[in-house]
Amino acid sequence: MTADIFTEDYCDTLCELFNIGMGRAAVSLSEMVDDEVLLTVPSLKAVDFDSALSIFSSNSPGKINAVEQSFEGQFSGNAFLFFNDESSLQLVRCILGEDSWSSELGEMEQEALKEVSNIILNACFGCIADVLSCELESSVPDLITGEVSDVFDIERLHIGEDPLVLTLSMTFSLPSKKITGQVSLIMASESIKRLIAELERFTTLYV
Amino acid sequence: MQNILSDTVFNNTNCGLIIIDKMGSIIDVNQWFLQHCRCEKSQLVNQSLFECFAFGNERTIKRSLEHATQYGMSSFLSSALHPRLFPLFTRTSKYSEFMEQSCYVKSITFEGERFGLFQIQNVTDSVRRESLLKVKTKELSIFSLAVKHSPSAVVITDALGIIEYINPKYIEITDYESNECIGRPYFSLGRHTNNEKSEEEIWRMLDLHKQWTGERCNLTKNGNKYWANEHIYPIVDQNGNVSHYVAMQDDVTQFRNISRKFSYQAAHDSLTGLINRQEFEAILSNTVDERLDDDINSLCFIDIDQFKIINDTCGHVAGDELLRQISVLLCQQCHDDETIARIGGDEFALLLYGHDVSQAKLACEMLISAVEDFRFRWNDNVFKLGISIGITEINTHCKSYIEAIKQADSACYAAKDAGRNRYHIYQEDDQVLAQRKDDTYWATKINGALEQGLLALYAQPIVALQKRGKISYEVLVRMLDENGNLIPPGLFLPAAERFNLSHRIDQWVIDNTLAWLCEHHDDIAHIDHISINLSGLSLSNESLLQHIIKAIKANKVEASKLSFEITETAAIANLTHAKLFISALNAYGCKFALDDFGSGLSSFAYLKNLKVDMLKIDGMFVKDMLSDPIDEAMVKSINDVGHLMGMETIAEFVENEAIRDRLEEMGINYGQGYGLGKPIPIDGILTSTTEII
Repeated sequence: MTADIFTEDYCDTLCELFNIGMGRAAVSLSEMVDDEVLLTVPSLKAVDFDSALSIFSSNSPGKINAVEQSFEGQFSGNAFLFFNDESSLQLVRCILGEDSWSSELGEMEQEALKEVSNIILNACFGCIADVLSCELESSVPDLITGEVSDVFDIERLHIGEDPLVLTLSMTFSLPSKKITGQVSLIMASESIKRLIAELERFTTLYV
Repeated sequence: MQNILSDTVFNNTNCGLIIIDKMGSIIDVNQWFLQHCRCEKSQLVNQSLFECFAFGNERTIKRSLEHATQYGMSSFLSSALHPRLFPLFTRTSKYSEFMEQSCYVKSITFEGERFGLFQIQNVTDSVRRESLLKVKTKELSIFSLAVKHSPSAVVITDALGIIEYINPKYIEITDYESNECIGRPYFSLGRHTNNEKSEEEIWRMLDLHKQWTGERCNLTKNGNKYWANEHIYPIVDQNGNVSHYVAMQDDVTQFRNISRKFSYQAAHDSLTGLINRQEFEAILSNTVDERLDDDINSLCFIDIDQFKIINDTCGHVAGDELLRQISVLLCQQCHDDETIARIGGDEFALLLYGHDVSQAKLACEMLISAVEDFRFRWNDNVFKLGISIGITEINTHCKSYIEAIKQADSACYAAKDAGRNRYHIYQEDDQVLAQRKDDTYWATKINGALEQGLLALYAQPIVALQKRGKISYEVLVRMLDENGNLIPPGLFLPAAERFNLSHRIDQWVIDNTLAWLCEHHDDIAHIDHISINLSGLSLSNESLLQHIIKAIKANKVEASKLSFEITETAAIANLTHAKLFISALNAYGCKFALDDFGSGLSSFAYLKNLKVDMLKIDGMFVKDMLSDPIDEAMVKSINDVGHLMGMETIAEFVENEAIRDRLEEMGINYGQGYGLGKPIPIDGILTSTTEII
C-alpha cells in the first residue's frame, strides 16, 4: 500500500483534530509550569515506513529520546513523540526551571520528559477518540533512548502489514525558547483504512 | 480461588494501587497504599478521592482520571513535575517523611465500565540521589570548567606520569592535539635536551609528595622553544597514595624576551652594541672582588684623539659612525674572553684577564697600530686617527675597582698630555700623574689668581727674518704665587683647559693687553703688532668680540697693532665661529695667525676657509729641522703653501743662530724663540727693543 491513500484532505482533517488536542495539552502544560506554553502543529504528512525512517534519520542524526505509547481499539498502532538530545535537555530544563550543568538527562528529568510527551500524545488520541467517538485504549508511556533506527525497529514494534507513518512536526513555544519535537503514528494498512473510514464519516457529518 | 489469589497479589504488590471510577470514587485500595497513607481501608473505599486527600495539583489527577475513564488513555505523572503527588509517608525513616512518587494511571475496563488504576511507586531515594548528584555534577562542572578555561595550561597525569587530560590552553601553547598527548608520559612531550636534570629533580620532589615549581624550556610540537613557569604537584588519596599529578604551565617566553631585552638594553650601549659603563663597572668590580692572590688583570682606558673635531666639523652623525667603526675595530683586535665597553662619549675600556702590564702593553700597541692604519671616511674627507690608552695593573695592591678606574683614567690623561696616540702605564710615583693629581689644586689656584690679580702679562719678540722691519710681540700669561714667584705656564695652563677656565684667562689677557696698549698708546710706535692667544671657547664668545670692537671704535687701541693667534685645532673645532670672529675683526684691520700649524690635523684644505694673515709653524718641526730632513721638508712645504695663499709665515722654537739662518734662507718671514728673545714682563718691551736683536 502506498501513502497515496491517505490523501491531503485526510491529512488536513487529522491535523485540525490534532491542533484541537494540542490546544488542550498546552493548557495542561501551562498549568503545570505556571507559565504560558503554546503548542502548534503546522502540517501532517503520510509516508511509508522506510521513507519515514530515512527522513527521521537525516533530520535527527545521533541520539534521540522517544516516548512511545501503543494504542488499540477501532484502529491500532504505535505513537511516538521524539526529540534530539539537545532539544530534550532544553525542553525538560525549561519546564523544570533547572540550570544546565550536565549534558545528559537525569533519571527525574527522563520522567518529566515522559510525562510531558504523554500529555501531548494523550491529547492527540483523546481528541481522535472524543471527536470521532472511537473506542481506543492506550498503554502507559515508555521512554526509549537511542538512534532513530533503534527506536523505530520494526522487529520490536509488531506493527502489522504495510505500515504507514503519519508524521507531524510540533513546536513548543516556551517563554524563553522554541523547541521542536516530532510526532509520528505508525499504523498498519488495516488500521489506516479504518481511520480513513472514521475520518470519512466525520467529514460527511460535520463538514 | 481465583479471586483470592488476585486479592493476595493486589495486597502484596510492592507499589501503591488504587482504583477510581469515573466519578472519582475510590473503588479499592491495596495494603501498600494504606500502610503509607496511614489510613484504614474503611476510611477510603467508596469515598471520593478528592475528599479523602488534599492534592497539590488536583486538576492533573482529574485530567488523568478523565483520560482513563472516558477515552481509555493512560497517563504518567512524574515526581519531577508533581512532588508528593499523594500525601504518603515513607516507612524507612525513623521520622515521618513525605514520599516522592511517580504514578502511572492506566485505563482498565471491568464489566463494561472504565476505571482508572493508579500505580504509585516510591522514588524518594531516587529523587534524593538525583538531587545530590545534581549538586555534585554542578560542583564538578564548575571545577572542570575552571580547569578547561584556565589561562594556565593544565595537564593531569596518572600516578606514573601518563597523561590523562590536557586543557585547551596546553593545546594552544604546544600545538599538540589532545589525542597526541593522552596516554603518553608527560615528560616525553616537548622534551628539551636540557630538561633531564630538572626531570630528576621534579621526580625527587614528587616522590616526597611535595610540589615542584620552576622555569623550564620546553618544545612545542613543531620544535619551537617556549619557556614555561611550571608548577607540578601530586594528588594524594585518602590512603596517602598518589593517584594523579597535576602540571600547570604558564608561558613566560614573551615576558622573558622582554625582560632579557630590557636587561640587555640596561647593560649595553645602543650605539656600538658594546656593554656600557655601568655593566663594565659591575664586571670590573666582580673581577677585583673575586680576584685570587696570583691573579693579575689589566685595565685599559682608551680615548679617541681629536674625536671632538670630527664630531664638530662633520656632525654628530659622523661622530656616531666613527664610534661604531672604532668599536668594531677594537673588538676585532680583542679576544673573546676580554671585556670591552664604551664607557663615555669617545672613551672605551678594556679588561684584559690574566695580563700583566707588559702583556697589556703589547695588546695596546696592537690596538694603537690598528687604529693608526685605519682611515675614517666621511663624505669626501679621510681622517687619520689616533688613540690614547691608560693602562693599570689590577694586582694585590688594588683595593677597589674605583681605584683601578681612577688609575687607568689618570694614565689615559697622561698619555694624552704626552702627545696622544700612545699608551701610558700607571705607576704609583709617576711624576706626570702627580701633576695630574694636582689639577684640582691648580684649578683653585687659577680661580684665586684671576680674582686676586696674580696674573701677569709677558711678551716674547717675533722678529722679521727677511728684512729689517718693525718688531712684534706675542703676549703670554704668567701666574704668580702668593710670594710673587713666577709659576711656569706648563703647570697651570693644562689645568685651566681641563677645568674650562681658559676663556676666563683669555678674557683677562685681552682686557689687560688692551688696557696696556691704551695706556702706552704713544710709546709703541716701534712695535708692528701685539699678538694675543685665543682659545676655542673664546672664539664663540660674542660678548668678547663686542668688547674688542668697542675698544677699537673708542680709538683707544689701534686695530692694526692687534693680532690674534688661534690654534689650528681650536679653529677647526669651532669653524663657523672662527670664521665670524676673523671676518669681524679683519674689517677693522686686526691680523690673525694660525698657531701651532702642523701639529694637529694639518689639513691644508682648511686654510682656504680661514682668512688668516699668518701661519705659525709648529715648533716641533723647527726645533730639529737641522738634523731631521723630514722636519725640514715640513717647514719648507708649510712655508710654500702659506706664501702661495698670501700668508706670512712665523717659525716657533728658534733656539739658535743656525736655525735662524736656515729659516732665513728658506724664506720664512718671522722667527720666535729663545734664540731670538725670551719672554719678558710686558712693560720691558717699551725700552728693550734694540737689545733683542
